[in-house]
Amino acid sequence: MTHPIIQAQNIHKTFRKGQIEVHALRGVDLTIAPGEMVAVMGPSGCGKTTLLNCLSGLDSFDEGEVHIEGTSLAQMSDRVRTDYRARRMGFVFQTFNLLPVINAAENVELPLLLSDVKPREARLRALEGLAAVGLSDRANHRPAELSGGERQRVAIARALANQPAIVWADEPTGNLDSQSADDILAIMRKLNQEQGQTLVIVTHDRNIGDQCDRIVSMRDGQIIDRGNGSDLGAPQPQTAAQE
Amino acid sequence: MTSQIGLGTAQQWMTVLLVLVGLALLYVVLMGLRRRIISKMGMRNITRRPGQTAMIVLGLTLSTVIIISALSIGDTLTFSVRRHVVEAYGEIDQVLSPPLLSTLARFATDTIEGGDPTAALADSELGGLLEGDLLSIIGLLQEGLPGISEERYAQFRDEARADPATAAVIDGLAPSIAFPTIIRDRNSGQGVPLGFIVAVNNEYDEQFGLTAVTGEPVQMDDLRTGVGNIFVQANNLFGLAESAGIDVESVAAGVAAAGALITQGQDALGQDAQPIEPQAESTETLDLSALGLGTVDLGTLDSAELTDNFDLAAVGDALGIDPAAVLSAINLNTLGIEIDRVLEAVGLELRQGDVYLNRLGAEKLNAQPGDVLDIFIGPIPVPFRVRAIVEQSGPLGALAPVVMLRLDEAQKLLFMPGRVNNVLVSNTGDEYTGMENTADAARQLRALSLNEVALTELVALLRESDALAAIQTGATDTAPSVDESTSDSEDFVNFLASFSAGGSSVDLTDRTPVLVRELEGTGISQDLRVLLAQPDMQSWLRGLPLSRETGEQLDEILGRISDLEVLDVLSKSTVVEVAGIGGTVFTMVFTIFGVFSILAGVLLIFLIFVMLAAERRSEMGMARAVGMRRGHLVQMFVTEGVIYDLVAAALGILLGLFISYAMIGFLGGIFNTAARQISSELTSSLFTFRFHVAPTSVVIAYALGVLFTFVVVTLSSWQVSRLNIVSAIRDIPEPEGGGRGIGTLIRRLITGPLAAALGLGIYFGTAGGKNGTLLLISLTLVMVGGMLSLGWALTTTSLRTEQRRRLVYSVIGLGLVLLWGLPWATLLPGTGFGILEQDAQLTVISFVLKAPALILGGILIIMFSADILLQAVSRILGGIGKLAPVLKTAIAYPLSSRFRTGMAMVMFAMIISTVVLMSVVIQATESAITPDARSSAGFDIKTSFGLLSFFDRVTDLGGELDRMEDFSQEVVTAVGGILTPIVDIRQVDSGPTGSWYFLEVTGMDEDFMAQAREIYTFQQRSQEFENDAAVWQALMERDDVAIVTPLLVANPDGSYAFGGGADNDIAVTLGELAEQGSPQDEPQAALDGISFHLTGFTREDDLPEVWLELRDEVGGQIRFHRVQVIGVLSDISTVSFNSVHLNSRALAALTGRDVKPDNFYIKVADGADVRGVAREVERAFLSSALDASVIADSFAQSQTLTRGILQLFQGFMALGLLVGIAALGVISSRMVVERRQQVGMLRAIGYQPGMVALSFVLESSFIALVGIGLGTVTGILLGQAMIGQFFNVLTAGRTLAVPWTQIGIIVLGAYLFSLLATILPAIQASRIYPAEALRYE
Repeated sequence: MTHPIIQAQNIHKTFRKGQIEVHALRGVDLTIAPGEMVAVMGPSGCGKTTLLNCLSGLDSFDEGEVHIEGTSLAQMSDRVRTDYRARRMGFVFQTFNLLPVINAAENVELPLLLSDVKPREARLRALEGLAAVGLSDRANHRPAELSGGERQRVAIARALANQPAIVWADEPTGNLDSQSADDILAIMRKLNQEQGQTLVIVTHDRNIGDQCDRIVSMRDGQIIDRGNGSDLGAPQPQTAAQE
Repeated sequence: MTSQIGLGTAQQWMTVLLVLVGLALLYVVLMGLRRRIISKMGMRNITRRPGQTAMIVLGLTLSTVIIISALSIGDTLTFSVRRHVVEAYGEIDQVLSPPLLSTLARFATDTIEGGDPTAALADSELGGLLEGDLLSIIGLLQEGLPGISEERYAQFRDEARADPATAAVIDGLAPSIAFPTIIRDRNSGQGVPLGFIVAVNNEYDEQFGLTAVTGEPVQMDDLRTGVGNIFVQANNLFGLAESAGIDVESVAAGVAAAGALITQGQDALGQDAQPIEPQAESTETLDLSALGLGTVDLGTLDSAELTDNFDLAAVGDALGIDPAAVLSAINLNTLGIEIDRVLEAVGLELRQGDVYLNRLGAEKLNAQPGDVLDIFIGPIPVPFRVRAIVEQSGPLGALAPVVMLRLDEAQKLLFMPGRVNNVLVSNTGDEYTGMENTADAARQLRALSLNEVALTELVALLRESDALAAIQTGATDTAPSVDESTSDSEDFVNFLASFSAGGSSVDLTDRTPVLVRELEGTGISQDLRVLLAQPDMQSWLRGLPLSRETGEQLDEILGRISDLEVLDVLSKSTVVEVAGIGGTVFTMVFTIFGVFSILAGVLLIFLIFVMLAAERRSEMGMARAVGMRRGHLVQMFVTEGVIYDLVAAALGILLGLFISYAMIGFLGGIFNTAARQISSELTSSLFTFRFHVAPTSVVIAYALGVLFTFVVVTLSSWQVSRLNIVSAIRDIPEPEGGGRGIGTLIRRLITGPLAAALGLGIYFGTAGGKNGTLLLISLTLVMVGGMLSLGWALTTTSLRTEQRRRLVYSVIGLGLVLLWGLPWATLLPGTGFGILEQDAQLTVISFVLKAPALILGGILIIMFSADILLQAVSRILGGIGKLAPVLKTAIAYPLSSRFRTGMAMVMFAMIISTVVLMSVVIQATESAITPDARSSAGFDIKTSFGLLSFFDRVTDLGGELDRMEDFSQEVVTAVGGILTPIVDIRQVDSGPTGSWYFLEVTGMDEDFMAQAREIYTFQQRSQEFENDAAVWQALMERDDVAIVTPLLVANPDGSYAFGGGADNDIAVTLGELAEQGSPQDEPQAALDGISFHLTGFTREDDLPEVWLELRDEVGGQIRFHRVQVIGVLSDISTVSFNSVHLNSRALAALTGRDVKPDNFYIKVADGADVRGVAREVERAFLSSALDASVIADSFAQSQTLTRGILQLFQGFMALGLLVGIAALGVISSRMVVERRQQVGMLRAIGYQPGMVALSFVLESSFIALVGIGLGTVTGILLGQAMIGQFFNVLTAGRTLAVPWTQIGIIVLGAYLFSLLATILPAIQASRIYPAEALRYE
């Protein structure tokens, strides 16, 4: 196996709300190779999104180690981590999270501008990105003027605009109808295959999992199946773990 | 507070407002009881976010703050003046005087109005005194000053006590003599050119009370008498002469000659000219050898006579000599010149009586008890010692220094034996409540004042058949009334008083039938007396259609119907009422200045609730989905809003009171500073501000604050309740406003085609084509209506909403800016477009509309050029790293919420524009009143004459100064005089300028011109003169030449503007109006039909031969004089600001008699103490009541006052900035909550915390800077336009720089404070943790 692009060891994460403690991650180990398209699946509240946030540096963790492209996330300052996200990561969210006040092209070029790409070039690349997701004719439309599927395609274009090493997708088809979901998945698969980005997709949708290279299954803050044959045990009853 | 301006009293306002507030609260409570859950939901929101609640409450306080500040400043002024008046009046409420004093009182108010005092006096019985010679004075003395006898007074008093109706409203009367005087304090050296003698007897202190400033009561009887007996003897002499058939003039001439011999010709008489040493008090002999009378043993005289009643006749008898011989030694002439020296010569000194001096007098004279005052009886200074400084010195004491003399002493001094000239009246009640009886008391007093003979004649006349028939017919007319403005009491104060009463027409409906009934009967009842005594009834009678003969008889009898008249202008209640009007006017001015701030506050309230609604949109959508109606949402918001409202208004009252207290302190400071500039002896202003707020004002402000907010909250709640349920739940933008509803159709019709049609209607239906303001309004309506119609039409095309709106609103914005902001007259001179820029007739409306039009236009352009702006910014700033995305979002966000952003920008722009406008105006005012050589002809001191100057009028100040031995001649280098009469004038050499105009011209004496020639140069000269000096030389030598300022000469383009100011003819016209009046014969005669101009040449031509004809009426004869214009000054600034200047001899030629300067100007040698010279001149000519003021000080004083008050207004308006800043704070903190998730996403894709914060700060900055920028530009444009309109004449030719430094400080300050308001929310935003924010849904 080549050097893993993501390597997590013994990740623990606990949320405290008043007197209540919720153990969202309990010693998660996960390794993902470059160019892999991995689905993280499990019941609601099993810790999938928390795992994604911890691996992408959006959230901190209490214990363990995460290395991205060989660098420890814990040792990065917030500034470096943020910068790293801007250059090497892309994000796709269930609720699209596009900026409503700017149009599709501007949303896509935002990460490029953050990476010091010149405005003119950023705009060209944004338009290419939109073309890649089939939205050339929607470049000047604001998110409110687009359908859900179109918005998510813009979000994908934005996530990929910077040609990141890793794209994190949290329920990317959760708010879409099945046709749109299929379209989105096809785009992601295609981009993964053509551009070789690593995709980590948190999903409930078995259909998506089936189209990924492997499925990592979680329950109660632990990985129960890494999808590479190492089944860690039978699913346990759901707890109050926070997603 | 009972102030009113025809709009009801404060109490009425309070009642109405309280009822409205009660109704509003009742509605909220009833709704709350009916649907408790809804109200609870509303109230629950209050405690959800305490910080936000605090900010909202603070934002809502502003309108209350502004209202209470304005009201309390007005209250303070009213209260302070009221206290000032009541302290001076004491128990006195009204004053009665014989008709002549009424004339004098009106004369005083005529001067207030700007009338010509000379004309007013000429019409009065004092006209003869104007010449100021001794004979006139003697003539007056012989007839006695007008008054009533003490017997008449006693009768008056007894009748008042006996008549129950009068006794019910009047509880005190006292006889008095009031007379103007000049006062000088020998100890301090200070003098006042106008004060008053108020003489009363013990009735005064018994009935009204009299206390020293130290608090002890004092009595008039305690005062020692002075030299009154001498005056009695003098009067006796004239009386004796007359009865002996000797010509009074001869006696006077003889007395004067004898005096002159003794005082000036001692050497000629072989007498010792050396002043003798003052003799010891224990002198036992009176050496009258100087008078050829030998030495007299004082022991033979009754010492009591000497000390208590220095009666010359008694002295003469005791000495065994002719009293006239004694008198001849101290005749009027010697009294007037150097009485002490003459008396010293015989070892005597004038006996010094006592007076009480009022507080104002003590301050102005810097006097202490014990000081000796010279009180001028006419031209004669009489010494009196100040026994005490007192509080209650009568009505005049509020306005001027007053010396209180014993009544018997004044009767002697003023040659009024047994007579008084006014009656002081105290109404029933204390010094405050007595005022309420003023009208009733005046009515009764008028009846008591009737002259019995005249009354009998009047009643007999009115009972004649033709008069009675006319009265009967007139009484049956519908609503007989009389117009106050045509009644006798026509003067400024009465005008104000009638204004305050809410109308000028007096209804006589109730009284005329009674009059008819009484006249149809017999005898003269008390009712008939009262009816006929009233001026309004007399006016009504005068207006009846009587035969000419009867009418003349009626006029004649009415002319002497009253022995005494009620001096309305001096009634305490009138003065207090006028003070109340002053306070109310101040309140109104502050309120008007505060309107922008209040409007900004209203916008803020609206904004706050719109944002609250935006925040809760999903909630509201859900609530609607589960069955809540729109009314429920409104109730929820209104309940919440009312709680904020009630708390905010209370807080606003406290804040407002604090602010107004500080402002009053500032105002007091300004007055004190100005007072010190008037007189270095004054350490503080004579008027003290006492902070006072009427309870009604607090209630009114609170109620208004609550109602304002309630109305806005209700409207905004209604607005936000109109939501699309699905969009609200999904938190997506509202769908495009469906164009199908009837409401939408009506709205589109009104804002589109109908607006355009209205514009066309205004243009064609009115004088829209000729009147600039109407033209602008009609063009604006056509443009806006047309564009909105176009937008409506475009909805049928495939154009996207955004593109359509951008097109329509950008064009509207551009149109507004171009129409209202372009300097049309400058850009397209002579094409008629100038009318768009300036308009004489609707100037104020133009002004009021200009600011909103420019601001709205600017904001529309910016708001709807979002993409272009964004791209431009990206292009410009794209190369500077991560700032590009930050800028992109910082501008995109505010532009996406156009309503909210626009409102915030409007708030900033409105406030900043008014503050900047004020800065420009203050700067212009300061420039206008900054002294320079051109406005003073290089002189340092200006002297002017006062009311009493005619006794000893100075006609040649320079000559008199030269002759004064004790005056340091070297400190004065020039003394010049000018006079400024109004004459009729016209140009006589060319075509259409035949009309006569009123014009004030300036006549200069040679000394004035000799100095002026050093300062003023000419831009055009008549060809016969080689240089400026030649023009001046001609002017000094000839009486047939004149020079003019360039204001009279047109520019080549036909305009009359001068200097670097706004180039428009209207400006000059308006400015000149003030000084020039209007043409007499033909209203449309001249080029612009309004003011006098020279025609036939322009400022760039050579000066042709131009002649002016002057016309004046002298003694019923019309006289003419022609002068040639031989020079046009380079500048419009002159001493007098008049446009035509000539040699004063030209005016003498016009009138055919000598002319005397109105004002003298003194140039002081370099290095000399200008103020010292002014003081010295004033002292030297105190008997001439000469007022000498240092020109620079006068400028500085008016500058201090003007600047201070303008700055106060500016500061008041700046309160509105708090609104703008609060608005930004609210917007910013709302933004953080609203965009939490988006911030999380931005952080996820690589925004550093600092970039997030910067984005928020830039976003607020964008709003603030656009608002501030637009406001600044608008303020400067408006300011310059205003200067062009109102300051042109004063400022033309001066460099009027925009006060960039001050504007810079305002802009920077406003921006910094707005930054402060947004920095906290920005930091909060930067601390949003991405994972948390993204999870938060």
